[in-house]
This record gives sequence, structure tokens and C-alpha cells, in this order.
Amino acid sequence: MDELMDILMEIDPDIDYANETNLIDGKVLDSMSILALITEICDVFDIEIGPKWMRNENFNSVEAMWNMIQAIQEEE
Amino acid sequence: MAITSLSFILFIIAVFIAYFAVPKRFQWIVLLVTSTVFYLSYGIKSALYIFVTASTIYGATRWMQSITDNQKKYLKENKATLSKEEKSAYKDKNKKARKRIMVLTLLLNVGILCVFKYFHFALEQVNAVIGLFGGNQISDVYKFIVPLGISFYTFQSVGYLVDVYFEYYSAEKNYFKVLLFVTFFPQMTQGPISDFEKLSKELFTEYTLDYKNYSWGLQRMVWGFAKKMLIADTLAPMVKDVFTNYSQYTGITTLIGAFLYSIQIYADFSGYMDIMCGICEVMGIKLTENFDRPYFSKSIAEYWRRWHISLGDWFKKYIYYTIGMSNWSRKLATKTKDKFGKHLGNTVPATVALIVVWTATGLWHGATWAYIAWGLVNGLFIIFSLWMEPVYAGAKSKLKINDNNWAWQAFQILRTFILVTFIKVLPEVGTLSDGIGLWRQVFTNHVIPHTKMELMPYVNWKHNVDILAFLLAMFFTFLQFCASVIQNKQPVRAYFNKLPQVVRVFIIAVLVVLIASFGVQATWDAGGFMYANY
Amino acid sequence: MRTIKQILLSLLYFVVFFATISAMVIIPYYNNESMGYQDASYRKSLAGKIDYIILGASQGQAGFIPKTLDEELGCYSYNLSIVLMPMHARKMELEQELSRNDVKTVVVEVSYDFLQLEAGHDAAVADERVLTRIDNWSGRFEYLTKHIRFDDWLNVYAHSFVTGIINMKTMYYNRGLNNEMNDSKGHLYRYKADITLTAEEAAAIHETKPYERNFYKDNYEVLKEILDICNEHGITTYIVCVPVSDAYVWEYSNLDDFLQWGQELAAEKNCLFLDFNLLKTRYEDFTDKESFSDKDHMSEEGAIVFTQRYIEVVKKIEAGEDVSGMFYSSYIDMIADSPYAK
Repeated sequence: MDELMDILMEIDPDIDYANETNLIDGKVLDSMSILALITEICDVFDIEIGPKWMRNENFNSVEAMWNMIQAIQEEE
Repeated sequence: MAITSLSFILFIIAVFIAYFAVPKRFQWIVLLVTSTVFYLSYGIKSALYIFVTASTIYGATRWMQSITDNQKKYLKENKATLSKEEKSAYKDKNKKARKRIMVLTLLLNVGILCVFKYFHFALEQVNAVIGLFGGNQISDVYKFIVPLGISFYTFQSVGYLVDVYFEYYSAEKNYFKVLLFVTFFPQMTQGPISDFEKLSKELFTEYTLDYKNYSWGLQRMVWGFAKKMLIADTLAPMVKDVFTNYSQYTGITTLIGAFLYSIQIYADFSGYMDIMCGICEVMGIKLTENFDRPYFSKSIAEYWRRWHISLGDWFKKYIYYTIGMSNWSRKLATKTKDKFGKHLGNTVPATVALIVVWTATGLWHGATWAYIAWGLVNGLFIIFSLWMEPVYAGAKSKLKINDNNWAWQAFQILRTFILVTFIKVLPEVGTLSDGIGLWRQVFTNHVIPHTKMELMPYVNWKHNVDILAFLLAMFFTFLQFCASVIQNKQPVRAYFNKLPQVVRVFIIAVLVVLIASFGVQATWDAGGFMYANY
Repeated sequence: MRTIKQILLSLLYFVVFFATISAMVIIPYYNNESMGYQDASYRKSLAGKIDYIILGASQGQAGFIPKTLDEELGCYSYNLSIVLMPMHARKMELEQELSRNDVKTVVVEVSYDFLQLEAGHDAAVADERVLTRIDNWSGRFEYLTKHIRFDDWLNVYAHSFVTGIINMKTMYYNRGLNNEMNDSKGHLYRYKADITLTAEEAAAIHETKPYERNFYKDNYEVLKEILDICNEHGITTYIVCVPVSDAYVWEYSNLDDFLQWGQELAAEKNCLFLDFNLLKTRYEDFTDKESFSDKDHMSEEGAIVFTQRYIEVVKKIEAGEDVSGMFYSSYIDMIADSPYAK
């Protein structure tokens, strides 16, 4: 979880990730940040985020992202 | 059947009555039947292509889904007996099969779109190359009637196809539901391009007649007609005049003409959206919004998140992320980050994806070099500001510019509006050189006009009718501006519906009288919707 | 149920407000007859007197001066033409005048494109004016439902309302007062404009407009019905083409087909076809500098000369003389002498 927060803070330190639950739908994170975020997550957690995980709900909040990462890790 | 016609109004009334008269489980069938009637009113030949798209998409998605379902079943049944390698090989085989189905169907449907849209353009380029080598050029005797809404319904259907391929959701089993998804008349001609999951939820839910939906929906429809007919169609001949004759007009006259174009195209396109969203709202259906007060954007990037939102989202989902998430793009990102730092590591792969997206966007809007240039200009502005971000941030902090400062925001909004206007106008004047010629006229002709005739020669100052129509267009543009400001807090209708019913209906009646008189006259000259040729 | 009641109430309010606002503008416009083309009451007051009718569209309205016809031919004429007048309207107004006048002569004015007018698009303006020339609401309703396309009702409404609003002041101050068009008995005075083409302009437009017999729907049938009605009443009928500018002729090609069409029609319907574009004296009588207000409408200066020429020809015909020598025998010959051909 801490590693995920580190990645997010590097991407945009001004966002209140703890309370933000609308990161994608609310257009809080822009598309370039999202790309960078996904690349980082794949690198740091050594996973592949397949297209079926590429849904707004999986990235709207830190919890959602963390749940997704764990689910992918379980699958693999 | 033209949208701005008496026949269409009667058609919509019939749709509403049928929709609420039938048992609720048949409501979507009413939508399907009326969409078919609507599409056929444009010609049977045209209907053939949308039918082919709907049928091939249905067939392909069902087939892919059956492979997925069979795979799940097989793996579950043989969980114990299969080795890891066997399971992997089996999954790969299925993945390849599904990919083949998806790619073939994609190529077929996008191919049909490309032939209709790009055949003449492609032939021109081939001829240009032949000409370079002194050969015999191929004569272009082919006449195509482009099926109505082909750019929109193809993109929407292909999105569904790809979503099922990536297993975002299961394929729809009912053919007629897929047919409705593809042909739903409020959005089939000019969008919004919707995704299957969201739209099907709206289309296949049962709705009860509700007074709020009825009144809000009708109000939105009337407002849409007002924008389209009182603003866009009134300004259309004036804008056409500027684009044809700018070389004879002063720079400032041409500039005003360009701003009128910005007003016209927003009123036209968003007016259409209001009409269609209003129609759907009466029936309880919510369409995705395509506009979010775009001229209040503070940057080009933001503008494209607020203008024609559904198209931008489509390109983002299916092109930008596909490219950006591909292996080679991620490798590029990592290599660049290692060598040049985090900022470039993020910006370089985004740049590559953006160039592809914006070339495609330009091409989608028109099969000419001017449109491709237009797309790339937009892309370059966005890419440039991405690269310059750290520089801007540094400059802002040095100059102590606060992002929340209203003067700074006003400056950004005005700057973006002017920039957007200039870019927008480029492919609309004619060829690319015509567009550049118009820019040149604005910047190099410094003659000051002294009379209103010289300032705006495209308004027919001799006829009271035309002066009144122009003043009405300006008044409604001002109303639209006020509405946009109010909408920042709440929809205007929230305030409007606080008035007593009789007052509200009186205002609507006045609006309808103006639309049915000045609006109909303006539309008569102006012709159809601007995005209806896509 | 409550929802339906609310909806019906809102629709009722809407219909009442819409009808009231529309009526406040359209009814005075239709009834006050302050626009030049609204001559229903005036024509009614002339009942029994009219024996010579000009029936055409804007070219007939501009070209024929009834007062001159009255002086020279000893008749009592009326110019029953309006801009873009639809064929059904011409028939209706002719029948109305025939029912209350002993008409001896009718001039049916024709032009190169008068039968191509798509009722509704080009002529919805005229449809609306025709409605304002009918002096009762049931007549207007009948014409609307019989001869105006449903999809064009909105255009007619739009034109009526906009014209009503723009002319509100005129309507209320000039209530019942007729303007100069009534004095001129239907003729419209047009100001001259110099429409001479430069050599480049002439070269650019030469023969770019082929004459075609692409008549819209039943326009041609109605024209023939008009000629039949005249025959039934024993009326002397002339099918006349009013002169257009040299520039306009220069733009067209295949006009001898138009000439042939006119001659065939006249032969079939036992009347005479007189195309004054082919008048041998046309190049002295009419110039692009003075005689026209635009490329295909005569100015007052042109109309004065044209009406005289028409009277001369008609007098000769009625005296039994052969007038074919006064005209070119074909457009090709006429165009060969055009100032633009040099």
C-alpha cells in the first residue's frame, strides 16, 4: 500500500489520495498521468495489467487500485 | 426526415405516445421500430450498411463469447486432468481465434467506413504520385452516397466489439437489442458515441411517465432548437460569406467572422445534443453529455476534454491507452526515464500516442490535408504544453501567479478561446492554403472599418428582417453565455422550474414562436446540421 | 393520472399562448391589407369593370403597366401577378375574377423557369402572399390544405409571422390604406440598375445554364387548365414572355427549345405565343444599362417601352396583320446580334 502511495505522490503530489474516490471519472488524474501510473505499477509490482482490468472503477481510488493489484497477483 | 421539420416533430410525438402507451417491457421495441423508421426515411440503400454492421458485430461478439464460455466450462471440468502447459496452450489457441474474429470484423466495418469516407482522398493521393512519375491518372467517376451517421455508429459498434474481445462484459444475446444499440436514432446521426454497458442499461430499463422528465426534457429540446435555428442557422450564411470573401474584407472583419464561426458550430452541435438528450430525457433515458461549457476551458487539452467528449473518450480508450500500454511503449517509457529523467519518461510515450490520436482525429473529421493538419495542430499544442509543464510551473511560481486568481483564469479562458477559434477555422475555409490565407488576412490587414457595413458586410443591413434575425442571434448567444455561467453551479432548469407552470409554459411558447418564425426562416437558407455528414 | 393531467394542462396552456401570440401578429397582417400585394378588397371593388387580365409572376408584374394598356387599348386592365406566383394560385385568382367580371383578354406571362418552381421551397414565400390575397379565413384554410405541402406549413407560418412583425408599424398606421400598387392596378414599379456585364463576366457565364423542360409536379397541367378555362370563356389569350436582359439570355443555352415549347403549347390551346425577347427592335428598345432592375426583371423605364411594344403588336394582330416579321425566328439568330457576341 505504501509503495502504491509513493508512486501516486510522485505522479501528482497535490492530490488528496486518501479521500479522493473519483480520480478517473472526475478527471482528477489526466490521461498522461494515468499512463505513467500504470507503467509504474506494472514495474514496481511486477504484474501485467491486462485490458480487462482497465476499467475506471479500478483506478478511481487508492483502495480500488490496491484491490486490483492484489487480485492480479493472486491470478498469477 | 430533417430534424428541424414539422414531420420530425410529429414523429417524436408519435414516439413518445407509443413509448408510454405500450407495456413497459416493450418500450425498447418501440425504440427499435422508430429508429428503423427514422433510418429508412433517409433511403433503403443507406440502411443496408448499418444493418451489415449491426449483424456482423452481433455475430462476432456472440462467437467470441461462446469461445470464452466454452473455455471456462472446459477448464473447470478438466481442472484436475490438464497440465499447466496444456491449459496455457488451450487458452492461447482460443485467444488467437477470438483475436482473428475481432480483427476481421473490425477490418470489415472500419473498411466500409474508410471506403465511403476516404476513397476520393486516397485516389487523389495515388493520382498525385502517378502524376509525379508522369503516368496516366485514374479518373474518379465513382459516386458514393455516404450512409447516414456512419462515422458515429461504426465507432460505437467497433467499441462494443473490442470491449467483448477484452472481456469487459458478456456479449448481448438478443440480436434485436444489439440492433437497437447500433441504430438508436437520437444518437446514431451525430453521437454521442456511447459504450454498450452504459447505454444498454439506459435503453433496456423500464420507465414510467414522469412529469419532471417530461418538462425538463421538453425544455431542453426547445432550447436545442433555439440554439440550432436562432443562432447557428442565422450565422451560417454570414460565416460562409466570410470564408468565401475574406480576402476582400479587413482583418478585424475576418476576425469577427471567425468568432461567429466558433459561436455557430457550438450552437449547432450542442443544440443537436440538447434536442436529442431532451428527447431521451422525456423517455427517462440518459445519454452521455458531449459538451461541458467548452469555451470556458483554460487550455487546449482541457478544451478537448469538454468538446465532443464522447469522441475524445473513444479515442482515449481505444487508441491512446492501447498504444500507451503496449509493450514497446512501456519499454520506451522505462528507457527514457532511465536516461532523461521522470518528466521525459512520461512525456515521450504520451507524445507518440498523442500524435497517432490527433492524426486519426483529424482524419475522422475530414478526408483532406487541411483536416489532418488541423488534427496535428491541436495535438502539437497539447504535446507542447506537456513538454513545457515544468517550465510553466517554474515561471508561474516566479511571477507569483496563483491558479485560483480570477484574472489569471479569465486570461487563460480568453487566450484558449482565441486559440481554439483560430485552429478550428483552419480546415473550414476550404483548402489548407485558404485557411492559412484567412489567418494571414487577420494578422496583416490593419484597415480600420468606419461603418457597420464595413465592419460586418455579411449582415444584410438593408433589410430589417436580417438585422432583426442577427440581433436575435446575438441575444440568444448572450443568453447561452449566461446559461453556461449559471450551469457552473446548477442546471439552468433547476432555477427555471421554480417558476409557476403557467409562467414557464408562456416563456416556452414565446421561444417556440421565435423558433417557428425566425428560426424556420434561417434554417431554410442554412441547410442541415454541420456534423450530419460524418 | 396526476402526471397525465399536469401534462395535458401544460399542453393546453402552450396551445393557448402559442395561438394567441401568433394570432396577434398574423391576423392583423392578413386582414389589414397594408402590403402592396394584398389587394383582395381593392379587386373586389373593381368587380364588373375588369376585362383585361395580366396573369403571371414577378416579370409580368414588373413589365406590364395597366394604365397604359387602358389608355391605348380602351380596356380596363388589371395586373394579377405577384412574385413567384404558384400555378394553383394563378388559376384560383383567375377563376375568381372571371366569376365577377366579363373578361375579354388574358395575358399569361411565362418565363424560362416559371414551371420549375418547387412549390414550397421557392414558392413558400409566394404561398404566404397568396393566402394574404384571399379575403376570408375559410378560403385561406382551403388553399393551405389543398395546395401547400404539409412540410411547408411551417415555412408559411414563419413567413407570415416574420413579415407581420417587421411590418407591424405599417400595419397599424396604414390600416386599410392601400399603397401605390393599388393605384397602379397590380403593377410593381422597379428601380433601374446597370447590370451590364464586363467582357470577363460575360465570358465566364456564357451558356452555363441550359434550358430544360424539367417542370415541377403538376405545374404544367395547371397551366394547361388555365388555358382551357380561357378557351371555355371565349377569351382571347396571349402567352407572353416579357423581355429579360441581354446578360440573362447570354447565360442560357438551348433557348430555342423554350421557343418551340411555347409555340407547341399555343398551337395546342388555340392561342398565340409572343416571346418579346425575340422582338427585332429589342437591342434598341432595351439595354442592360437602363431597362432592367436585375437580370430578369424590367425597370419602370423598360416597362414603359415594353408595354408600348406589346400594344403595337397586339393592335396589329387584332387588325388581322401578320406580326412574324417583327420577331427573330430563333434565339440563335437573336443571340448572334447580342452586344456580348462582339
